[in-house]
Formats: sequence, structure tokens, C-alpha cells
Amino acid sequence: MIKLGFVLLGAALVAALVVGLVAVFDQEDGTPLDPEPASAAPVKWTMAQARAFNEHELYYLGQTYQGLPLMQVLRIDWPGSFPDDPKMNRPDHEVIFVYGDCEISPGEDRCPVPLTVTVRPASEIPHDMVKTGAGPPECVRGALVQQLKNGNIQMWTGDATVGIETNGVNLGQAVSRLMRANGGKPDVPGQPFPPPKGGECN
Amino acid sequence: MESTCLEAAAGDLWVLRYLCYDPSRYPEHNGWYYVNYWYCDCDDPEGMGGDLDPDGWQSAYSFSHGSCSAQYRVDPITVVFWGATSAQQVEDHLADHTDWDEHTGNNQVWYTYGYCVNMDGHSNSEWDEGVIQGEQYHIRLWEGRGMDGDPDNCHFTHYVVGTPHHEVWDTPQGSCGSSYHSVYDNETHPDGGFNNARDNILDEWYPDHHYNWQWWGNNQLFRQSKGYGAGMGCWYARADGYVAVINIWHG
Repeated sequence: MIKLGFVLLGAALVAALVVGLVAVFDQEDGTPLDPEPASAAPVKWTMAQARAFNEHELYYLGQTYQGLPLMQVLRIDWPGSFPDDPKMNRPDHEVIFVYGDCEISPGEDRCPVPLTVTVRPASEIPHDMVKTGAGPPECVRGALVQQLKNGNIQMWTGDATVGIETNGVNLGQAVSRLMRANGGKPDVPGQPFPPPKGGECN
Repeated sequence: MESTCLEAAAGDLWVLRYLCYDPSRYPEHNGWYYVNYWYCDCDDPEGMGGDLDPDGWQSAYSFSHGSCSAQYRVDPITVVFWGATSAQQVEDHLADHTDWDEHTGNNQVWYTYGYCVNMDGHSNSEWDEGVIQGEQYHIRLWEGRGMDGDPDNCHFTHYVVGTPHHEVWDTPQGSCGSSYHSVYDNETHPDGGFNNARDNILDEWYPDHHYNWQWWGNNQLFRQSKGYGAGMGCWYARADGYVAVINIWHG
């Protein structure tokens, strides 16, 4: 429950509120996709693990997109900081397909990677929570697709939501190139997606 | 002097009216005036922060370069202190609630209404030297501006944005980068240093300060200079795209 308070002072109205990342190897041809492969540390994912993932649909852009190779598949499995309080809690269960990489320039602390495809359970990003939509969502290939102001794309299909996050990469063909990474259709670009759970998209 | 004279309920919306007296105000009414508090018992996803325009008139990241262009993204905005009129006000609360009472670190910039503006303040915890070589929480702060770039001309409710992150001080892995500062990655620490620092604020501030969530989609993945060891890959960190809009007022 949120309490909203609006205070009226005389004629003046004042509003107030009261109230497991992973280095990937292509197991099919044995080619390491990460030039600095697997760490000893945590859970290291492979494309084979992505293919075997069965919690929801996974989508990716294949082995390359606009010349950027698939470098890593990362897995984040985080129940959230406040699991006893569903309203406060923000669980984060992501599979991230990382295309290309960046180099940290001298004097810089970090660098933004050029392209990622992130798949999460649809329930973790309800469409009505999106604050940065660039216009109304559209139906593309049967999925609900939201263009974001920062150039990214967020899509809802079946039980999953798919983010295509860019830093300087043209995403014009991205949605049409998406395909299943863990079996099932669409297994090639262009085929229709399952409708978003709870609604049709035509 | 204050008294309740009306309490009207209509579904999930009601109003409390207070009759107040202050001889320095409203001389035309001899100092008497009404204050109406409107309450809504509803799951309002907008509420605070409804006027913000992230990635429109306000960027969802800070930048290391005065061009504020995407290739210089550094940290995601993951908190908005709604109602805050100055960075100093937020720094005071951070020192009080979170023990982030130091102020060291370099400048970054933030984009708003066509301006790429320097930070207005920042806070950090003491370096904890017990972890790796050291770790700290750090947040840079920017005051919301008006269309002329002036914080005093913010055209709606005042606010301050922040970029909290939990970082280590450690020898960089040469194949990854050369910085001694790296934000905790999401592999060895699944919440990652961006989400962890945001949630640390929420944990320490709530319930004194209420908040709501907005999804901004500012989940850029950042490579870090720290790695898992020679030939073992680099750290990568990201936020989850959610921003907490926190009421600066206790309530």
C-alpha cells in the first residue's frame, strides 16, 4: 500500500509524498568463444547449458550479429535482497548472451560492452513498469515489442522477456534475427514467437 | 495550532483537512488557513518520480566525458531521492542512515535538458580493508535541473539522482584493464555491485523512507579491470534496470 499525500496550503498546491556469469564455449564445434575462457571460480556456463535450460524460453541472435561474435553467456541467479517482502524484492534471474567486448581506456574504470541479449522471466519486468518506452509497444512476429528511448528493445513472448541492449550497435534487424537458443520454435529467424503469456499479439 | 475538522473517505481516496494558524502567513485571513492531505490507498506505480523523463530529458547513466555520449557511460542511475532540494541534503541522510559519511572520488557528469553537468556531491563508506585489498560503497549525486540547467529552476518536484555502486580496490588484471577500481561482478556476487549498493540504501533507509520502483532499462553490462586470474576472464557488472524512487522525507 502506498500513501500519497497532497498538501494544499492556502491557494498554493504542493504535492508531497507521505508516505553466474559464464564464459562460453560452443560445445558443438569445440571452439572457445571467449579468448579468456572459464574462470575457476563460479558457475561457468556453456552454450550446451543454455541449450539445456528449461525454466523458460531463451532467445539469442546466433553466433554473430553485425560482425560481433557471441563472446560469452552469463547466468545471474539472484533471489533478490528482500525475499521476505515481495513488494520490495527485485529478483534477477538472467541469461545474458554477450556479443563483442570493449577495452577499458587508460584512466577509465570500466567500459560498456556493445551488445547483449538478456532473457528473464516475464514476471520480473511487467510491461507496465517500463518508464522509458519510446512510444507504444508493437506486435512483431507475434511478440509484444517495446522500443526504449535509449535505443534498446524489450520484448515479451511466452513466459520470457527479452532485452536487446545496445551501445552503438544498430538494432534494426535484431528482432527479426532472434531465435530460440534452447530448442523449440522459432529456431530460425523470422518465424513467429509464442504470444506473450496473458495476451495475444497480432 | 492544529486540529482535524474533516475526514472524508471515498473508496481508496480520502482527505484529512487541518485548520492551521500562523500569524506570519495569510494576513488577509488573520493567519488562519487550511491544509488538505489527500491520501490514496492504491498500488500506484507512478506516484513519486512520475514527472521524470529518463533517457529523454534526463540520462539514465553518468558519464566519464563531458560529451555525455553513450560510449562514456560509467554508472547507472539506480536511485532518485524524490523531494530532495540539494545533494547536501542527501549526503546528510546517507551519513545518518547508511554511514556513508566520506566524500572522496573524482567527478563524473550527467545529462539533463541538453546540459552535461558536473556532479553536485558524493558520499562513500570507509574503505574496508578486510576484503581483498579494500572495498567501499560510493555514490555520486546530481540535483535535478530546470530547462535552463539551473537546479533552482526545477520545474516540478525537486529531486536528486544517484549512482550507488559497491566496488573493490585491487590490482587490475592487465588483460582486463588498468584501473584499481572495479565494481563487484554479477558472477561471484550475483546481485552485482550496482544492485547491491542500491539495495543497501533501501535496506538502511526503509521504513523511515518509503520508495517505489520504476524500470528504466539501464542495464548496460560493464567490463571491469579486475579478473578471475590470468587467462580466466574479467569481471562484468550490471544493474538490473530498476530504479528506486525514494521519498527524502521520513514518513
